[in-house]
Order: sequence, then structure tokens, then C-alpha cells
Amino acid sequence: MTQPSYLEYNSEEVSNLIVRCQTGDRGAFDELIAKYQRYVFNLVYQHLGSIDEIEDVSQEIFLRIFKFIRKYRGNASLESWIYKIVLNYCRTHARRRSSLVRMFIPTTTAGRDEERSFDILEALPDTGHDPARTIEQRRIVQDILGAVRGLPEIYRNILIMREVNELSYEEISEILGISIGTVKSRISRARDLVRQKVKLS
Amino acid sequence: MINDYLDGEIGLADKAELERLMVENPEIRQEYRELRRLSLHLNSMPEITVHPSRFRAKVLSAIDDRERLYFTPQRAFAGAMLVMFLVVGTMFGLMLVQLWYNTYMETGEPANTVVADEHDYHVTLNVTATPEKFFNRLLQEYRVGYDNYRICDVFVQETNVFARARCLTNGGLESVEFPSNLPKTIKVNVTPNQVVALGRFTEGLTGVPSLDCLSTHDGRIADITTLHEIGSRSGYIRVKLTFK
Repeated sequence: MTQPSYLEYNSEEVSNLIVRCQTGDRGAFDELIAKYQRYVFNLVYQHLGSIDEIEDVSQEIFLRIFKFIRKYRGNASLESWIYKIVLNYCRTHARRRSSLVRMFIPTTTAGRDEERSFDILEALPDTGHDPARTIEQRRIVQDILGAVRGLPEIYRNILIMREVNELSYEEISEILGISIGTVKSRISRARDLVRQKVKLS
Repeated sequence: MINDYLDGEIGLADKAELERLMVENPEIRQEYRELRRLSLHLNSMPEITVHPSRFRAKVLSAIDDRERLYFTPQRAFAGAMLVMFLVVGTMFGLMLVQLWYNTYMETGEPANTVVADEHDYHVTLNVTATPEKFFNRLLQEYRVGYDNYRICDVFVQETNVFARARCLTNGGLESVEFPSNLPKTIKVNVTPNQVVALGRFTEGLTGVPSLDCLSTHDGRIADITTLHEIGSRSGYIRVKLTFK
């Protein structure tokens, strides 16, 4: 039996890694985690917006990847496939969290900072060593992030996919399962909604 | 069109047109600037860096933990089989207990509805008359309203003797003729009261004590007195009638 090839959307290295993971090779899955852990952490942070839950949520996502990797058929890149899993899980998690919050049950499970498996690197805008301007820029970034977090899910996700992760219209269309026309209109609408909330001039 | 321009998804002609509009129209130019700034700021979102091995070890350990608990079809089948064995085993156990109870706890008093079996009394009646005479007399007494109608019912229900009988009308009187080849031995199940009545009937029929309680299930040698005793019992008695 010939091994399946996933070269259409993946590099040879990733294709081989997928095949090995699909046979249940733990070493291969360890490599896969190493390769995509930063990617998954960032996606979770961007879409969930909660630092406390990044690690637990990412762990659950990798457990899902491990469980479902045998079902990956190479119809999209592995990154897109993982992105779909992240989005689906974040959506489920957010719903569960909101219902728990409604019942006044704390959901934070993260430990102390030194127990974390990750760090947050804040990319400061180049303000030419002007502290006042740096603070102002930070404030604008925080305002924008707040506005994005406040968007309805369909606009928030698509804006993050496009602006933060720089996915093409085709990739977004594939991941969300919507037409390119819808992708364009939603991105445009999302940008307008943020512009209405934050003074960008 | 500005969005397409920002995303690099615009054709050459549209791009030239938009750039011309932006030069001419300050509002369009302002909108472009704001959207461009939004993109830049979103691009400067904080980034996460992950410690190389700590997280991987946690995930692999969690996989091991989950795999021990995973609900596989094989485990589901094994679980279903276990439940089935427990249910069947419990039912079988209850049946055994019931059987044991019936066998060892209720031997003294057979149930009213149970047909006589090897555990009930066995009584033999030696009738010193032919079966034809026996049944003819039984019918006569039955017809005149004698109390033996209940005995008659026993033979109607348990033997085909009466089906083989032929009614004859003679001078306004009805008589019954039985074939000569009636069986010399007939076994019936009767109640204790009926067996006493049967004993009396056969005694009256032949004029001699014809009741021969040869044996009972418990090995006792019984006689008419014994039958009177067991006449107050409930349950059934197997009676063997032997004719001349």
C-alpha cells in the first residue's frame, strides 16, 4: 500500500510528518507539536483573547489534532486544517466559558507566570525613543484590540485571519467554508466597524 | 475597492483608478490612511513564544492519560458484554433460587394449581368390576343427581371414555353403552376430596373395599383412613384405577 502524499498543499517535510503522525508515531507527533505550538498559541491568543487560558486551550487543541490527524486528507494545507480546529475549539470554549461565567464559576486554570510554557512579546511601534508617543501608540493598539474583541464573531475571526495572520482570501474562504465574495464583504464590514469605534486619524 | 487595494487583491486598472481618486479626493485618501493604520496596528499585536519542550511534554503526557480512558469500540463491546453477562447471570441466579425454593421449601404442601407429579400422592384403586360397569354406574348416578358428578367431570376431562360411549333410547329411558375394549387401567389427577369420593364410589359399586392405597410419594402405605386425612389437603393426587 502506497503512502498518501500531501504535497499539493504542504512541503515534503510536512507531508512526511503527517504520514508518520497518521501511523500513531509519538515521536512524529512530538515534532508536529514543536513545529506548530507557537502557531497554535498565537491563534488561540488572537481568537480567544485570554492569556490565562492559552495553555490549556492549546493543549486541548493538540489533543484534538492527535485524535483527528488520521482524518486529514490533504484537501488544504496542514496549517489551514489546524486553523479550522483552533477556530472550532475556541468557539466551543468561548460558549462554554460564557455559560460558566453566567453561573459565577471561575474558569481560569492557568498557574503562576513562572509555570507557563510561553511568554508574550509585545511588538512596540517604532516611535524614535519618544516615550509619550510610545504610550500613545500602545493606547491606540489597546483600543483597536478592544474594538476587535467587541466585534461579532463572524467579523472578529475574519479580521484577525486577514490582518493579523495575513491569510489570503482563498485560504480564509477554505477555512471558514464561505465564498470569496462573502470573505471580501465581511472583511470590509469588519474594518468599518473598528473604524467607527476607534479614532485612527 | 480600498479593501482590495489594501489586501493586494486589486487589478491593475482598478488600482490606477483608485490611486487617481485618492489624489483627487481627500475623503477617500483619509479612509485609506485609517484602514492602513488599522492594518499596521493589528500587525503589531503581541506575539506568543513557547518554551521549547515543557509544553510538548505536557501534551504527550495528556495523550497518554486520555488514551487510558478513550472509549474505543472494543471497550464498548467488552462493557456491553459484561453488562449482558451480569444481567443474564442475575436472572439465572434468581431462577435457581426460585427453583430451589420450590423444590425444598414447599414440598409439604403442593400448590393448588399444579397437576400431580412424582412428588404428589400416588394412589391405586383396585376396582373389582369391569370398566364398562364402573363408568355405566358412574353415569347413572351422575344423571340422577348423585354427588359423584364431580368425579364424572374428572373422567370427562382426562379420558376419552365418555366420548366413546353410545346413548341408547329404550322405552323412553336413556341408557349408555360402552365399547368392550375400554382400557383396564386409567390414570387421572384428582383433588384429595375427589379421591375420597372415588374410593367411596368404588366401594359402593362392588360391595367390597376396593381402595388400595398401595403407595404414596413418600413411601407410606395408606388406606381409606389415610385418604380421609389427605382429603383435607390441597393440591392434586395421581390416581391409578385398575379394573377387573
